[in-house]
Amino acid sequence: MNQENILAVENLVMHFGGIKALNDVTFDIKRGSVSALIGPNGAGKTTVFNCLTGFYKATGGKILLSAGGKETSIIKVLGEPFQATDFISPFAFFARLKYKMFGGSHLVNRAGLSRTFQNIRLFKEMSVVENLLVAQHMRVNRSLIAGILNTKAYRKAEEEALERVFYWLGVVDLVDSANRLAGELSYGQQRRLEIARAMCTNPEIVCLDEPAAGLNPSETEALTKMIRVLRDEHNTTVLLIEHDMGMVMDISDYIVVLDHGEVIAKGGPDDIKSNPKVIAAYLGAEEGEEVTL
Amino acid sequence: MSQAVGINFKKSSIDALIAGFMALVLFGPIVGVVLDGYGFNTEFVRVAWMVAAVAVGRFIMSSFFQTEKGIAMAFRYANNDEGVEVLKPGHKSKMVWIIPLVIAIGLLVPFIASKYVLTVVILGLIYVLLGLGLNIVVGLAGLLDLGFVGFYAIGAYGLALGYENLGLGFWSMLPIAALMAAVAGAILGFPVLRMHGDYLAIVTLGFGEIIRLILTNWASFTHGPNGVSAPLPTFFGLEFKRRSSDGQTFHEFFNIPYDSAYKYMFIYIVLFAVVWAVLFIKHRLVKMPIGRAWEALREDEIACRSLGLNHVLVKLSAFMLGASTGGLAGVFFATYQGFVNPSSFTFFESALILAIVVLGGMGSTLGVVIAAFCLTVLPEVLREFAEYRVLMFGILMVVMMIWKPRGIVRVTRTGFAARKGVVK
Repeated sequence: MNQENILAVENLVMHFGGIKALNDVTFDIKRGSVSALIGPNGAGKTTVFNCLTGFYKATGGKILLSAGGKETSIIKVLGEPFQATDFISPFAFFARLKYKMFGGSHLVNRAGLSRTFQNIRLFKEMSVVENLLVAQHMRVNRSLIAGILNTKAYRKAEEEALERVFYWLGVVDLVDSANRLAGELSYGQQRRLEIARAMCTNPEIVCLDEPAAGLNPSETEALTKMIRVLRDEHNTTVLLIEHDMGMVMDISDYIVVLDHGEVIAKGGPDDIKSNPKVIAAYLGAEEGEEVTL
Repeated sequence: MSQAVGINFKKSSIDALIAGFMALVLFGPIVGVVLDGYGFNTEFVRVAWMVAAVAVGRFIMSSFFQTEKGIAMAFRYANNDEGVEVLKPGHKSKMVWIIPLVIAIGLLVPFIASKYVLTVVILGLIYVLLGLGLNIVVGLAGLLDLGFVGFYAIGAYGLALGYENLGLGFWSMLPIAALMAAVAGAILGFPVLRMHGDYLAIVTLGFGEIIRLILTNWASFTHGPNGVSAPLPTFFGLEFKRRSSDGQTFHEFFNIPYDSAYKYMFIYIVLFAVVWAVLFIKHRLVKMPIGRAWEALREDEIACRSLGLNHVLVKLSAFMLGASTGGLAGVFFATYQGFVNPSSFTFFESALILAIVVLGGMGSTLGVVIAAFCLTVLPEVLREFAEYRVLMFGILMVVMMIWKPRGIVRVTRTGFAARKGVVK
């Protein structure tokens, strides 16, 4: 297990038919950092996210997640096609069969990586508390018998889950809205609730897809504070996609810039700010003008 | 808005006239013409009474809705489709007393009702079970299942064939049929639950038909369209027959005269207990992690996966639990009829069960119980209109979709009291 890097992406390639959305993307995310993935529209940021979180099966390359005391290959848990060698070794065969039958993006979450979505995906007709309880599904007492008989152990597990719910509601400042439907909340509240929900799965790294989109400046500032709380008090690594450059430069320790499916720059905020390739990608370079470092 | 407090009697009169005319058109041929052998008698007085009742009723209603109270009432009911409501923490329903009342009345029914009424109520309870089972699949997990009757058939034929081939009685088949239906649900579910919506509906529709076709065509095992007889339940080994070839019968043991209603009483009491047990389990399930996972899956499958829920297994559990309830209902159906054949398990039954769930309100337990009784007992009560049953269903569905698209009973969600947050 890699102690320094929680996430290692190597030569990630993603093709949709003939479209090469990602071409050889390589970067590492340090444990306990706040990192950002930026780039112009259509650069492939969300595609990278979907590959990392297991919603797309990458065409090639490697994604290694070192969390929960073990190293998980994200592409492997999604279920890979059988290979000739599998038919010789039954062990490898069954491992692959297991992931083919029961694998999927939920295993990525169980390995310690959770995410939010660009277009908010809450359980709109469930209450705020229930949204956070669902997120703790893997941590509560799921025994049918215990639940139906309402045993002591079951009640204790539920109570603990509720305490965690109210802790996270406190962090995102939604305690007053605990018993409202998630769909009734305002846009900013929904964004915060989604982050709380992602945190309720007890991840080591949380991927936020445009968390500040649609927020006003003061809400963005509150969000920045919240992300710092996640990192400092919960030792959670944060990876985010964001278009609000002020916020990105403010909180990120490390920035990866994508353009046309390729990493064009990576480094600290100050390096990125002055990187001519990045400026060219965002503002556009003159035709024929060669951008050099 | 300036309230016109005065009642516009002209408007009311026109309303009453229109309603009266429509009643005349409707009731004239149905009530006014009575067949008598090859001829018919015309009964004008009956029609006149009915038309008058409708016209007067419409006049009163029309006038009432012009008063302030009436306007307020109409407004209140018009705004009733706003959807789900979250209850306050520690909410206790004022209607709790109704549960012991219903249990008490329910236990009295077999002793006061006639045999015919009892059989109708048994049928109603069987559909309550079916509705509750399908409600887990459609209402909670949001999986449109058009082949639910397949599991019902598995339960019913399980009892009949288990008795014929293995000598298993009602009591041993009750759990086994539930298990068999659950296994069938798993076998069907595992490959197809990766599909969504319409595709899933079509596959399940096919499944229901496949089961029916197997039952019809595998004549050497199922006796095809001739059907199989199913055994009656036994009371601690005592049979409910007039004469028993082996051992004592119920009436001989208790020294009472034979009555064919005893078996229905017994089936009713067992069924009543099972329905309450299923209601209780269902009530617990929706508050449990598995129930929350079902509803979350209905709301947003992608978000569920991102939270570490294995969507296939969660769907499968809903499918299996729903199927096992359907299997239970099948066993009761077989023992109540004493005979099963494939014509009881057509697509129409699936549609009827689905109608129960949709009318009752997706995910609402109480609504499903009410709807199940409405849709099974009403056609029995209105025997004369039996031919119009399907038409009535259609009208009822259209009316419900317009006025109460979310079902009879509004779905509520539990509220949670705030507490001190701790994270470990």
